[in-house]
Amino acid sequence: MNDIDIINDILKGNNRKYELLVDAYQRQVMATCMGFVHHRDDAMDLTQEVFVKAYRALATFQGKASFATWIYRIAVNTCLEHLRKKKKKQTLWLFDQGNDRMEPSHTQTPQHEAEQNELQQQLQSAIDSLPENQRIAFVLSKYDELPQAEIARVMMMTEGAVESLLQRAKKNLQKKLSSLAKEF
Amino acid sequence: MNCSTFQQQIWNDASQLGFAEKKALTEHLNHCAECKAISHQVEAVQQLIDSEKNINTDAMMSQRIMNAIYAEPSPRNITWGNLSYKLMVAASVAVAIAIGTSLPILLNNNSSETTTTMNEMAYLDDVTLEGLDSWLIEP
Ligand SMILES: [Zn+2]
Repeated sequence: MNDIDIINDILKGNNRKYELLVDAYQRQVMATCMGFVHHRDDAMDLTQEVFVKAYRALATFQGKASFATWIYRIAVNTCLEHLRKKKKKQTLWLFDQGNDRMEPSHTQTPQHEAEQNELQQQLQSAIDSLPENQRIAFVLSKYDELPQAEIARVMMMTEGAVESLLQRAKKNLQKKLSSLAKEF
Repeated sequence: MNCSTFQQQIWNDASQLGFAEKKALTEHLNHCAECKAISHQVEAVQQLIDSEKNINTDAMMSQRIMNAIYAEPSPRNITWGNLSYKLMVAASVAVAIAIGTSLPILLNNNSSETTTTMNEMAYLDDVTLEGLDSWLIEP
């Protein structure tokens, strides 16, 4: 049963079939969300939001793109929307986001753990500080391991444009990482 | 090969490199401090990405999503009420885009900032627009 058959069944009223799509794409959507928010619980909430949004819009899915491309697009938009709302909140309250990120593993000494945690946050910040389109292309390429052709479909760009975005993203990251070089 | 080529290879998955390429890269890293440093940095980024993308979700994640889905009305219920609402939104979006695109032309403003914002808008509204597109052709 392919995605289109499943969607047709759901549109006929068999909403339980949606679980097949959730099971098929949940891991990828979660990876995309982690790439943008680096926080497990936030990423899980966003993943749920993505699937609910996709479900609500299911009747409008035309099959012009594959369901995978479509849900990646919804995932990217949902994450960007979330980050914008969060940025607004932070500007209002100037909260420290230090403890909001992914926790390090618990198999290390406290000092090593603290250092690792700091490095991890610096790497996350370096990714987050990329210009938006570079960041989207980078997350889809590295977190979802999508080929450039699929990234191009998700972002509605040419493959050449995606390639150029990825090259610039890597150059920019390299620059940012060089300034942290002493940490490595 | 120069450093720039090696630095591109550093970002690629090692499994994508051929035997000769891998060997040349390893030899280069033994002699070039700059590329060696970049290689360590990229490795750290890759480790972060691997740990994040393979993070365990709640075992009940599917169930949690499906519970949210069961609370939703069926997606097939397209009523004339929300269709006309969607048409109004479509019209507003069209007007906003028309104003947005014509203003810079009227003001003869060719700054790259304006272009980025418009591209971004078109991109961000895609899901909505794809939806609206089909709402319009639905009888
Ligand atoms: Zn070099």
